[in-house]
Amino acid sequence: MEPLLKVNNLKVAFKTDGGLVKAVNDVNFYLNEGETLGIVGESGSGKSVTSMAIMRLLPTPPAVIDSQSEVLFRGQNLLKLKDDQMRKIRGKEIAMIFQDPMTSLNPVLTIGKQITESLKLHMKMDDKAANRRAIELLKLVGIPSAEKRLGDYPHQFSGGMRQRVMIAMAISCDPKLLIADEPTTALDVTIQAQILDLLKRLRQELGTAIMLITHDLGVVAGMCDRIQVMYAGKIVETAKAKPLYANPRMPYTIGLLNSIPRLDSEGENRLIPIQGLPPDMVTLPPGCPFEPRCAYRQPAVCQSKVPELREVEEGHRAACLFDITKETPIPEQPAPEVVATATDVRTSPAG
Amino acid sequence: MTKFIIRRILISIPVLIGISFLVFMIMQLAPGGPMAAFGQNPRMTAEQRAAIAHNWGLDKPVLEQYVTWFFSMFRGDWGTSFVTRQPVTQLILDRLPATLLLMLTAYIIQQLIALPLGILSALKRYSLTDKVLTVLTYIGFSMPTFWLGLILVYTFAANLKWFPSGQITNPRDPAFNSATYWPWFAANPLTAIGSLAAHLVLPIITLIVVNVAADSRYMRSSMLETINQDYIRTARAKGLKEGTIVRRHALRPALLPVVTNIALTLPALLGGAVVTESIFQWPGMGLLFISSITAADYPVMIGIVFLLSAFILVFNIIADVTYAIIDPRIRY
Repeated sequence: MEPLLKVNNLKVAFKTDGGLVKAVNDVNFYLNEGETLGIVGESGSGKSVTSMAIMRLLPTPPAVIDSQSEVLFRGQNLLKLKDDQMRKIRGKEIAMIFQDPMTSLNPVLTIGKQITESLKLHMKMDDKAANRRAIELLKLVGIPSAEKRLGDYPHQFSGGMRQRVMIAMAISCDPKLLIADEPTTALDVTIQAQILDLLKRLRQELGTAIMLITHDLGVVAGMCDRIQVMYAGKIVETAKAKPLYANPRMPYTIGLLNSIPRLDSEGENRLIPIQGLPPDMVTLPPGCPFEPRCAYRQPAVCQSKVPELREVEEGHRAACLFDITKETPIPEQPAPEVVATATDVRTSPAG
Repeated sequence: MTKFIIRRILISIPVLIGISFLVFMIMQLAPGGPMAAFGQNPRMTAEQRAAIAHNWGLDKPVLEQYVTWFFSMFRGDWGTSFVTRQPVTQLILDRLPATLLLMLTAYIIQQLIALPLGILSALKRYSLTDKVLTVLTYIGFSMPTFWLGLILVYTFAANLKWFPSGQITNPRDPAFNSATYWPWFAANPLTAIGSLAAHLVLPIITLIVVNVAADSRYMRSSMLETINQDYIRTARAKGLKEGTIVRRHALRPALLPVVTNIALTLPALLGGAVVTESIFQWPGMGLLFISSITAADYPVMIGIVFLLSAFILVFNIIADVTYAIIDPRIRY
C-alpha cells in the first residue's frame, strides 16, 4: 500500500546574517493512513521546520527548500503545487495544531467564526450548516454547552479549552493527516493528558493519521505507532514505539531515555544528562553531528564519516556507525573536553 | 458598556475642574496678567487702569477670581473680547466652521492615504515599493510645515497661479460664514464649493504631508506586528487566501492601536492649525488664537485653551470607548 505521506530528501535551510542555517538535512520518512508517527527531538532539531515545510508554511525567503526535495501526499508532490492548489490541501487534507493555544487563535474573532471559516471555504457550507457542524465539533472535542460558546472570544477560554478549539478547527474538514506541533507543550500536566486522550479518541473515531511532534518522549510513548528521533536536522533513529523504548540503538536516544525520571524504577537511579549543546547548524561537523556529545564516541572514526540510517533490526533503523545498545559499556572519556568541544562548535562561526 | 461610559464621564468631571484651575492660574502667571492689553496704552492713566481692574474684579484675590470665572464659564458667559468687544463664545462659534472644514477634510484625506500606504508597505516588506515609500516617508516626516506652506504658496499660487494663495473665499465673494455668505452659497452652490475646494488644496497639502508620513509608518509597524502573529499562521494553515487573511484576520487587530491614535489626535481638528492657518490666512481657530495672544486678549485666549482641554478630555473618553468596542478582550 502506498503511504499517505512520503517525504524524500527534504532539505530546508534559512538564509540569515550569520550564514545558511541548515535546519533540515536530507530527511526521509513515510506515514501510512491512520497511523500515528511521533517525531521527537530537542529544540532546533528541525522537527517543526519539517512539519512547516510539508504544509508549505515557511516564508521563502528566508527559507530555502532544496529542489530535489519531495513531499508526496497521496502520490502528489506538494512542493511542486501551485499556491491555489496548495490552499485546497491546507486545512482540508492536511490540518495543523500549533504549540501555543494562547496565541494561535485570533483574539478579535469569535471562535464560531474561526471554526466555520474552514467549513465554508472547503466544504462550501452555508452559515447555518457550518454553525451546526461547529457545534458538533465543539461537542466532539469536549467543550461543554457548545451552542452558547460559539459566540465567545478566545480570551474567554482557558488554555486547555483553547487547544480543544484548535483541534476542533483542525478536524473540521475531516483531514487525512493531522500535524500536531507540540500540542501539549504550553499546557499544564493534567491538561496535557486530557488533550492527548482527546487526540487518541479522535484518531479512533475519525481514522485520521497523526504526525505528533514533541520534545517529550513521555508524550509520544502511549500514543504513537512509530517514533522517529531527530537530531541536528536529521532522523537518527526510527522504530516502532515499543522496540524504541525497550532497545534504543542510537546513543542520542539512549541519552534522552536516561534523562527521563521514572517513577517505577527501583532504588536510586541517577538521571544522566546529555553533555554539551546541539551543534551550530551553520557549520555542521563533517562527521556525526552527535559525536561531540556522544558517550560512546570514537573520535577517529566518528569525526570523519556521517553515519547513515541503517537497519539494525527489522523495522528498526539507527544512524550510528557502531552497534550500540543500552548494555554497551560506556568507555572512559575525558569529560571536560566534551563540553569544551561542543561549546566551541556552537559559538565560533556565528559571531 | 453603558456603565463604563457613565463612570468614565463622571471621572472626567473633577479632571475638567482641575484643568480649568490650571489654565486659569497659568494665564495669571503670564507677564502683565489680564491687564496686559491696557498696559501699553499711553493715554490711559493709572487711575483708569485701577478703575477697570476694580470693575472687572481683578483686584480681588486670585482664588475668588477663579471661582467667579469658573461659574460664569459654567453658565456659558465666557466674557467679551478686549479687541472686538464681541462675546468670546460668538467669536469661537464664528471661527469653528472654517477650522472644521479645513481640518476634517485634511484629516479624512490623510487617513485615506496613510492607512492604505502603511498596509501596503507592511505586506510588501522590503520590496521596492516598501523602500520607495520608506524614503518618501522620511522626506515627508522631516518637512517643516511653515517651510512647506511657503514653498507651496510661492510655487503654485504666486508663480503658477493654479490655486489662490490664501483666505477661504475670493475677495469679491461674501466673507465665509458671514450673514450674506450662506444665502450666496445656496444661490451659487457650484461656484461656492468650487471656490472652497480651490482654497483648500494648498493648506490641506501643507497639513497632511507630515501626518501622512507619521501615520503610514504607524500603520506599517502595527500591520507588521500583526502579520507575524501565530494566529495569522493558523489562518494560513486553514488554506485561506492571502487577501482574506489580511482582511479578516489581520486588519482589525492591526487597526486597534491606530484607531486609538486617531481618536486621540482628533481634538486638533477643533484647535485648528496655528502655523498653517497663519500662512494661508485661514479664518479659523488657529488664527484666532494667534491674534488673541498677540493682542493679549485674555478672555479669548483662556476660552480657547479651556475649550481645547475639554475636547481632549472628551476624545480621550471616545478613544477608550472605541477601543473597548473593537477589542473584545477589553472589559471594564
